[in-house]
Amino acid sequence: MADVLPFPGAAAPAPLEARGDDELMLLAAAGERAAFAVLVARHARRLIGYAAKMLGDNARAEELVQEVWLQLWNARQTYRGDGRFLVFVYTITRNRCRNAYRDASRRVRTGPQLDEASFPDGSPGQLDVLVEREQARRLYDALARLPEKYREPLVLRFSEGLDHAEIATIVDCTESAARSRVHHGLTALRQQLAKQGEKS
Amino acid sequence: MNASCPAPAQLHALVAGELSENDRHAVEQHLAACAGCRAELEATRAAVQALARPVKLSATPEELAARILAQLDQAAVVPLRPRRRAWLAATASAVAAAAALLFVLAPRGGFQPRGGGERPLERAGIDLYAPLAPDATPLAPGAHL
Repeated sequence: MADVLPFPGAAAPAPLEARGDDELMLLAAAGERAAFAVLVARHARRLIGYAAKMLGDNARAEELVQEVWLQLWNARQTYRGDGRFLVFVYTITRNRCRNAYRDASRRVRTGPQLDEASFPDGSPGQLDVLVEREQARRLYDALARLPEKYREPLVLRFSEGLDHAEIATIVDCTESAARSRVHHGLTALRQQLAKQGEKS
Repeated sequence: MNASCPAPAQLHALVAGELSENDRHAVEQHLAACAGCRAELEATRAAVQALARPVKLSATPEELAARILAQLDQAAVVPLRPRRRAWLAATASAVAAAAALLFVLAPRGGFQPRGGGERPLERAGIDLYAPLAPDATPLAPGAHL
């Protein structure tokens, strides 16, 4: 039997991992779970990082981000596909973080929570693990002392690498206000970290 | 710091890589001669590095994705959250209890309006149900007016 010649000009479809967020969301809206799984694997780490720094709690951040993905799956038909997927998903995460933080504030706050499972033994060495844990605890503690209006833009700018226009959309303010809040937030964070240094 | 020192916002912008080429050059020239500003810059850089440090996850991104997809399946077979169902059941029970209480407490002849059952028009001597012409004979079946 003769080999089947490919249709002239027809290229093999790109693998899901090579496709953009908007295209993956379109596929997800059509029920393609594998496309959604690629989106989750691509962005889960950064969303959990953002939520952990906002809440000061790694385990709660993982739970919250799982809820974000479930919400996103249920609302996948409503995504407009305007090339701003990250802004869209950060906005959902930010709103959930605000609610979770306020719920936690009503209860007795026990300080920053670092999941033991987040620091497995052995790699890259127990001492390094302890140093990392202490660094994270200090950061979470300092961030928890900042007003929310500074903490949000600060983390979005320097932890997540978003620009001021994207931050303004997510936190619902003007671009110049976002720029100003990042600056004041960084000043306040430096002061908190300096206080910790004086205590220790 | 003195009057020639850059504003803190400029140092922040330098660390964030947001300064223009000319401004960056000017600030760097100043930093070369000002130990106070260098210390400020280092403190700012340390804060930004702390913020940028990635969080350790309990699982790989692929494992997280698998976990979340498994939750999608669970969500599909649980239409209502238990708390919501409990709320609905409690409301239904309260309505049923109120209906039963009304049935037991209601008088046998039904509820009567206040004032002995006399309506305002009746008190004024008007009978809405009296025939308009008491002595008129009824029409025979099939008769036309």
